[in-house]
Amino acid sequence: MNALEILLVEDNAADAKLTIIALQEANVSNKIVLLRDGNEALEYIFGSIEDRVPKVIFLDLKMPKVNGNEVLAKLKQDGRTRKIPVVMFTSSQEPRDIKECFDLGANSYLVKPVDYDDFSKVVKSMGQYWTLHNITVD
Amino acid sequence: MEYLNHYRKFFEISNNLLCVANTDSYFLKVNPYFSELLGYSQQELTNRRFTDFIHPEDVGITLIEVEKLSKGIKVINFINRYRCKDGIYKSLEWTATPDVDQSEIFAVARDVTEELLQKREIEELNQSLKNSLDEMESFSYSVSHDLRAPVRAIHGFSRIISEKHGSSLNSEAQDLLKIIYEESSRMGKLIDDLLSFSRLGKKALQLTMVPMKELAQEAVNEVLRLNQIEPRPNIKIANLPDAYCDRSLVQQVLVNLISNAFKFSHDKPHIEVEIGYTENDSLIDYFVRDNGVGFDMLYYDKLFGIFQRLHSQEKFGGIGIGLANVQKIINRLGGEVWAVSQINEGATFYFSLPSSANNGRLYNKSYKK
Repeated sequence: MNALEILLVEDNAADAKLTIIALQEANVSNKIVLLRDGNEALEYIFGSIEDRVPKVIFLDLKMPKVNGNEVLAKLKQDGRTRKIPVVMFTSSQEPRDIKECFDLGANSYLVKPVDYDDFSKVVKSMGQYWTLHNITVD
Repeated sequence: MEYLNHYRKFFEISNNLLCVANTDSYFLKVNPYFSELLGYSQQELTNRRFTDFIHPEDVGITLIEVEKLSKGIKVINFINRYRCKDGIYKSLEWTATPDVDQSEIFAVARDVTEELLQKREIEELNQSLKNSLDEMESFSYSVSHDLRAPVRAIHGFSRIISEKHGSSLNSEAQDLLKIIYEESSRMGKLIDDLLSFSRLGKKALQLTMVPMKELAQEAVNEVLRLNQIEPRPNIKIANLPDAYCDRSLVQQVLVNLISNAFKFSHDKPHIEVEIGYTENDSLIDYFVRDNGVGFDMLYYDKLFGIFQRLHSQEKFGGIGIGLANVQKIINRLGGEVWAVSQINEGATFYFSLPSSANNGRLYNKSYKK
């Protein structure tokens, strides 16, 4: 069993905090690692890959330095990380962004609701789905 | 012989260019208007090849037309530029017919310089108008998009404070927090509606023949499912003819108009809603009529504006974007929206849609002009 449960890649501090609170409320995990941009995410995962395979990655799309879709592409191209479920978690509802993420191999695409009650609901259900059942993807 | 004199008169007074030329590119005879328009004497015009007067960029295309004429093919509405004596170029639109046996060309031209300039000006104005509209759309889109995260933070943290720390706040602080929570929720809805409004203009249309009666019934069912209305409204749906449109967008229109009809009739003892139509030539006018509070025609010009409301929010709810969406959708589909009402006498909302693909294209074409 890995020590790490959920990797959250999010540059917006408020969104990160809200996501962590919702995940903790749902008891899905107390092992959440927060990374602030795509570059940090890549360094973290590929820096020491053996110890750092999370059950699920929540990945923001629009971030400074390295965008979410670039991180997604690298994760899905590498045999060691390909099976980690990746949930895109973003404000963008652009059909172009959604298509691109699925084309790159995203396992889910969630639009962050403005309403916190809805936001908390989707985070909880997504977190539970991907962590409780120990799902890996092909 | 008398007619020849008559014809000569026409030749002399015409304020179009009239000429006879040969296929070696020489004018044989030109009417007086040539000199008037271009500034050369008749002799200057006939002494040189006419290609010497033509803008260098247009000589090639002109020779192609002359070639056609020498093979007996007529030329219609061909435009090239002639240099006047003062150096200015005029755009001339030619219609010419050949006499192959004699190797002669009979040609008429009119000066379209001003016309083309005006046309270009209009095109440029249209383009800049379109650019500023696009800019405005993408501005409102990105502003509302960027507002989502801060509003979510206000809404989320006010909720979390009241859940986790509510017990340590006095009742006034709790009330104020509740206001922050509710107002940020309203702002979130405004932002989402604004975003979906600006996305409406971008969505690719899927045009097919749509069974409107079926669609109206579905829309009624959906509105009834989402709203508990007692006593049950009395809804009449006429035998609506099919329309050529985008099904999911028109579904939104119907849901909007039907829920408005219910909403603005809720204080009546019994809600009556009628969905009907009247047929025009190529467009069908559909309508949704209710027996509700109606509206004052004095404020008609605000009816379809974005975030405009004609009734208080306390009494009727909503943020005033529904009819703006309706209008945007119907206009995109080539139709129009209008309404009639009297205060307390109900309201009727009309929208028109093309009755077939053919009519849709025709209408859209003239609409774009």
